[in-house]
Amino acid sequence: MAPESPIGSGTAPVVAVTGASGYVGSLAVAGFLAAGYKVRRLGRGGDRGPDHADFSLDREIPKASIEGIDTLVHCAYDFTVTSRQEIWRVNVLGTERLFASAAAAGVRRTIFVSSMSAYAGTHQRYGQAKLVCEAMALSQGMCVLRLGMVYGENPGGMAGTLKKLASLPVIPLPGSSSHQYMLHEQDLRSAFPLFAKAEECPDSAIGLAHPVAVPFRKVMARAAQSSGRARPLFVPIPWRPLFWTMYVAELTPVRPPLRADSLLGLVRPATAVPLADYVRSLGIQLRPFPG
Amino acid sequence: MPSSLIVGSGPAAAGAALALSEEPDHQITVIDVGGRLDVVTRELVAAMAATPHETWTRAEWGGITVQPVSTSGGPIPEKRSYGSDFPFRDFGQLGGVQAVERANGRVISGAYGGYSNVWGAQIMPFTAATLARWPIRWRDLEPHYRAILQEVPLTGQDDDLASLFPLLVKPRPLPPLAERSRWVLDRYEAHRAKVRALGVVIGAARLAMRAEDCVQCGLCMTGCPYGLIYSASQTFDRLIRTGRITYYSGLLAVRVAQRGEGEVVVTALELGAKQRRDFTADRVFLAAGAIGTTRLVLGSLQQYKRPVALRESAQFVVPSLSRRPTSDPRRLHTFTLNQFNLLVDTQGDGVELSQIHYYPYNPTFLASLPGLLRDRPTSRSTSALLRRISVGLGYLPSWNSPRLEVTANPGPEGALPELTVAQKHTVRASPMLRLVLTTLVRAAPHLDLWPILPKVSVSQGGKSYHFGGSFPHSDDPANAAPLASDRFGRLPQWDRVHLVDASVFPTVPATTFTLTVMANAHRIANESLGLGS
Repeated sequence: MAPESPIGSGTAPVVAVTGASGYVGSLAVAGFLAAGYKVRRLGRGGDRGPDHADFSLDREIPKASIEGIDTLVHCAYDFTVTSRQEIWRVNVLGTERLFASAAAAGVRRTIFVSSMSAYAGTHQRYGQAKLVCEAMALSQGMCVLRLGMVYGENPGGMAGTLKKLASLPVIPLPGSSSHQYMLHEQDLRSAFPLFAKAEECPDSAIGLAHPVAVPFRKVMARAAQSSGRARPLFVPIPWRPLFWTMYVAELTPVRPPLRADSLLGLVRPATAVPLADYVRSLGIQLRPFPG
Repeated sequence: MPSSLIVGSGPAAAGAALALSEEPDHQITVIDVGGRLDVVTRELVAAMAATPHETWTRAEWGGITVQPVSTSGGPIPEKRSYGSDFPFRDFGQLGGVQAVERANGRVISGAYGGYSNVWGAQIMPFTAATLARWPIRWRDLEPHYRAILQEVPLTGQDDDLASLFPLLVKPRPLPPLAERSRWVLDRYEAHRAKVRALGVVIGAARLAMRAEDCVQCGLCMTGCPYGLIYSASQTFDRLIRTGRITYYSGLLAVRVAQRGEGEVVVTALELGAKQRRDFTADRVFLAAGAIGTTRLVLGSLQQYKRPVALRESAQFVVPSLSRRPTSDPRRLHTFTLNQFNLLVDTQGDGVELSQIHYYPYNPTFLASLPGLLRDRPTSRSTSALLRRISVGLGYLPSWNSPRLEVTANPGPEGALPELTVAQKHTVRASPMLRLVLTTLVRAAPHLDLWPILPKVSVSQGGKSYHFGGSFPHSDDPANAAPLASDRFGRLPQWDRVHLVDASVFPTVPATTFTLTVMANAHRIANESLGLGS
């Protein structure tokens, strides 16, 4: 059965998704397709099919890529750059360029996908870059979603990395007293179109995660369980020596599975999920983390 | 016919008057101290404006250009308007005001147009992130920013500042910038990613001026003879000329009272004859400047002897040197208002911002040099220095600045209360100022703009003129401590008296102030029309 047009006009509205091949981007694409949207995937090389258009964070955005869309969802983030200057050059200035293009093209709703790592006072470069982009987005009336750690049966992103770590015989547990706010991938998928359709977006960032903090040990136990390890062996380790070891390793050609900057996000999480009531008011029910 | 009375003629009063005048049946009266430039100088300015600036005589130039004057108690001099101190002068409104503990006492303007006669003319909105912490949000203010920008001419350009501060209207192009400004902006463009990664954003000035008519006579800082820089007095001139308002000058409002749920009475003192006059209206809009309004309210409510805190965005001066010299700036003429803005976003959240306005050369630079150089203006070393120097005027947000405190005490019968203005502590050791200066040093190699740290100075309390917050807007004013106003600028004691100036600001960010003062006053007046008479 063909999906019903979300605005009932008979013509499916068009949503463009940056980073559509990534974990979060692919969930956005799936969510919008299921809700009856026509999806344009924005990524490098726009010649991969009629639903692809050319986009890169570090280049000018072709006008044709963004024209004629109703909604823009900006998920793209380049994790290959690690220095602060390169993060700003690619991710912050690239996002600024995208927002300016969206404004010039008259895009009705732009959703900027941020992270719970973005909060005032964070030392994490990823969180700081997201925070700067959030301020720009909010200044232009855009919708900002701070996602918790997205998980599912076969997760990507950070949850996927943790799942790999959880398959080790002995699982290191830096920041063992830390916590995370979690978001199931199915909930995220269903939520995207609701934010696109909402009458108005709040003028501050919306936390999209179940509001109960989940101890990090529990997150890792669940990751181990889904890797087939019923009784994982955890070894709490101080995170600072690990951070500096990873930091130094990143100066060499060695690429550890987890970046030092990501470790900061794990051990220094946000303290609360903002605007959880607003999320509920849209009819979005977020499932609690299992266990 | 519904009637409103506005007290004052500064930017807040102009914002309220603009909103009320949109209702054709609304009767608007304005009472004001109304101090003006003396007649002789007004005529001289008018005569000069009628002729090309190349034909002005030395006497004419000298007649209207007086550089800022040092005042006691602070490192930042006081500007003059066409050679006159009338924006700061005591026409009667400063009687009984006493400044203590390093504070500036000239904190209430009695001038027609208020302090907008001498402002820096910089206009940008507050960031959405700043307003997200107010009960009044971006979407509440945005239409009123746009309405004000239909009245106030915006000159500027679309650049990196627009990401945080939307332009809202199409700006008029800036006149050509000074060589130093162009150099810094070019360096910024060349090293943009590095500078942005430090939390620094730079963009050209956004000015309230009719730039298309600028002849670059270089007199912006001492009073534009052609009247191209916006002043609230221009709005009132128009509204008076078109008969849309009835304006009375020479009046100092001394008391406000509301008769039950009915009309409001404002008692004013005639400054010459010392007679009292009562004015009645359905609604009253207080726009006497944050401290002027605070004094009037405290006296009317007989709230004496209790210190009331005000929030001030502290001002600092940061001179800078560049390695690469320009031509001698004294030989070149350019507009002399702020030419570019440097923002330091210390947390990256669009809230913890410091803003620095950089100015091109003006004669105050020479006057500020050490004696040996100042006394030999044609020497090679003086020229070498002037070819490398820039001056930035910076601001810190009120939550990282010292507080001002005012205390009212009963005054003579029928007069305003005595008022003590004090600054509570110095900002010199402010961690945020240190962070801003450290960031400037880190950005210096990229921008060729090296702050001269020993010469950084912080203004005395009340000298930034960016203060307010004595009766901050609150979602629940009845239960907010101790004196708060609702979104209509009303205190719990009155439902037809609206405070419309910065006295109702919950905070005073470091970004430019006047556009939000006008927009919020416009919003309050506009929304009050829906409350009925």
